Amino acid sequence: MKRIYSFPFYVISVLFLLSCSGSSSSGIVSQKNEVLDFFLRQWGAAVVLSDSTAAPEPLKYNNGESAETYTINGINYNLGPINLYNYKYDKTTTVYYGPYFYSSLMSSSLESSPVNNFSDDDIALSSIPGKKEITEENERNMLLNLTRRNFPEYYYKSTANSDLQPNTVDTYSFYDYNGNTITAFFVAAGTVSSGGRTITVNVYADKNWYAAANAPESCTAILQKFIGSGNKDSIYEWVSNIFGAEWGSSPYSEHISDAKTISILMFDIDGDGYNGTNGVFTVGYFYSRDNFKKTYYSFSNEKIMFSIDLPYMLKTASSETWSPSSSYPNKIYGTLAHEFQHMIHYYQKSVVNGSYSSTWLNEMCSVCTEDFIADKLGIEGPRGIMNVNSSGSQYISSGRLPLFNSMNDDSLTTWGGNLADYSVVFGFGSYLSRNFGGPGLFRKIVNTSKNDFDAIKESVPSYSAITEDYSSTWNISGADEVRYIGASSVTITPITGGNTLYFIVSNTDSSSSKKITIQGGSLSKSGTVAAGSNTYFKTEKITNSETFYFTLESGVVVTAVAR
Amino acid sequence: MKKVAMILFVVLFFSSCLFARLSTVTGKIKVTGNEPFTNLIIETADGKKYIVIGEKSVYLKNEKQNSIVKLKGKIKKEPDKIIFGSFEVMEFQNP
Repeated sequence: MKRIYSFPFYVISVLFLLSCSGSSSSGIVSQKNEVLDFFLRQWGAAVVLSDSTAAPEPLKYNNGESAETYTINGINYNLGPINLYNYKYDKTTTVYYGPYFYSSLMSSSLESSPVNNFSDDDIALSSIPGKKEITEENERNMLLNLTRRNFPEYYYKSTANSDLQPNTVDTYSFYDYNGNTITAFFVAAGTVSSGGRTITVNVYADKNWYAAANAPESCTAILQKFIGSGNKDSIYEWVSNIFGAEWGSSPYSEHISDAKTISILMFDIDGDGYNGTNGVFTVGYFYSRDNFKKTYYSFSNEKIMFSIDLPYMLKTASSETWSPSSSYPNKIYGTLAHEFQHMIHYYQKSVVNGSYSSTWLNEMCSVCTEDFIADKLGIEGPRGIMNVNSSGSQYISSGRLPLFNSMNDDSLTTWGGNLADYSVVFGFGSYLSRNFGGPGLFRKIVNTSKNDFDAIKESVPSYSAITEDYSSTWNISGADEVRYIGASSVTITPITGGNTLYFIVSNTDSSSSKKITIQGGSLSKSGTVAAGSNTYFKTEKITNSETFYFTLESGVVVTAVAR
Repeated sequence: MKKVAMILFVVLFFSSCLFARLSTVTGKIKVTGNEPFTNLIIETADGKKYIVIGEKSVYLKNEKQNSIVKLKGKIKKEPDKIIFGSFEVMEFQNP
């Protein structure tokens, strides 16, 4: 089913976080382009709703949707439908596409039994592929006035092999991101050809950890996942097919030359073994410092390389026997694809296009890469669903979306490096990919010198139309401060013909009910919202500019949707 | 008296040197790079980018991302052709 989203109607949503008195006037300035963020949030932030005066209706699920297929250079990428599970309300709402979701949202039912049932495995699954405390220089920005180079035409023919016997005698020294020395064996290698480019992939393993149970198998497995068998079945082919080459010539003498080699170093990142640091693992990373010569960065490994946490890959979930396809190795494969996007992103965005990326954009591309190839890898991916043709069961507790769903006031473009940020960028990215061109869209986003929303605007032809429609047909008070208005009122000026306005009220406090009042136009609502529950109010045929006033107790979030 | 004058001269000399080295940069606060190697930067209207360091950078990261601010502090390193510059922030305000 082809869905080229054309925005047949306009939805404008405004989120108000109001103080206890409901009279806070300290607006937090946001950026104009977060309007789109907000659009997305409306579709993604699937609160469970009920008209407070009506009997609860059963939830509706996505039972009939199938995967959407995009083809790039002969490789198919399938993007499945998305379900959202809301921890706060213990419910799932299906995200269809744009307006369909909205109608689904409106027919969902009340639930007032919030749960938080993160298991150890779920926490591990959500591990950050990185460590936020580290703030070393990575984005070696290529400043402006560089010459843009033409991209090669990618045609993908793959031939791969893995014919190297592990060498556990000779050792090789690497630096981790802290500059600590890692002594490793050279344990596996192979080649893969793609887009007319043949590269060698070398796998190294920490010499101590290589003696651990299943470590040799892990190293072989990660190589195989990365290079495949030469039949368009590898992470290298899939991801580079979308985004382009990971390295090549550079106009900067500080960079290493193109040896057409990728190295994968398997070791105990952070030295935290099987348990992680307080249960959190740095599963893997790409560090562009290694793309530089030692004369520039003395701790550079002078390799185009990834680092992968070997102990994490060796873990087993309860009642599971380790194998290359068991749960933890599967998470590693997703991480490898994630980090490979960063590797390509650095080259294409910074070196080729002489630009840089904000972290939210870069991470969005990586987490969506996991989404693009999850079905090919046979992993759940950020949707938390194994079968790409399914939107999953009612209670989807893994993947990125549950947290996104329960953090609908978290900013898209403000990056703090926490798990919610990954969830939010995936919420946005999954919307973009499913409505504006799939993996091909993301290729454009990466292969442009534009950054932030400018990259999206350039890559999505209808994006500017959306914003223009927004600005020309609607006038919400403080239009440039759409998000976190922090005011006690909002003024809506409708388009010709009148419109309907919804106020979705969520009590985020799971232990006590909250009082609210919303008044304006023909709408006058005053009452109590039960603990951890939601309600909504609707007012139709707004034909004149109207102002609505709110009085909310602390912990109540109101989302206004005009359509 | 001569001694006092000398001390005053020295103090004023170093104070003036200190103030002379304070710079002002106005631009948008952003976080760049991939995890876990991110940087807080300020991007000026003319495209210069400085990594923002110093104690106040934490507040800027938490509260001022995507906002335009004016920073006062020391330029530790000017941007060159290949990397961001570096700016130690001491004060900031909305422009």
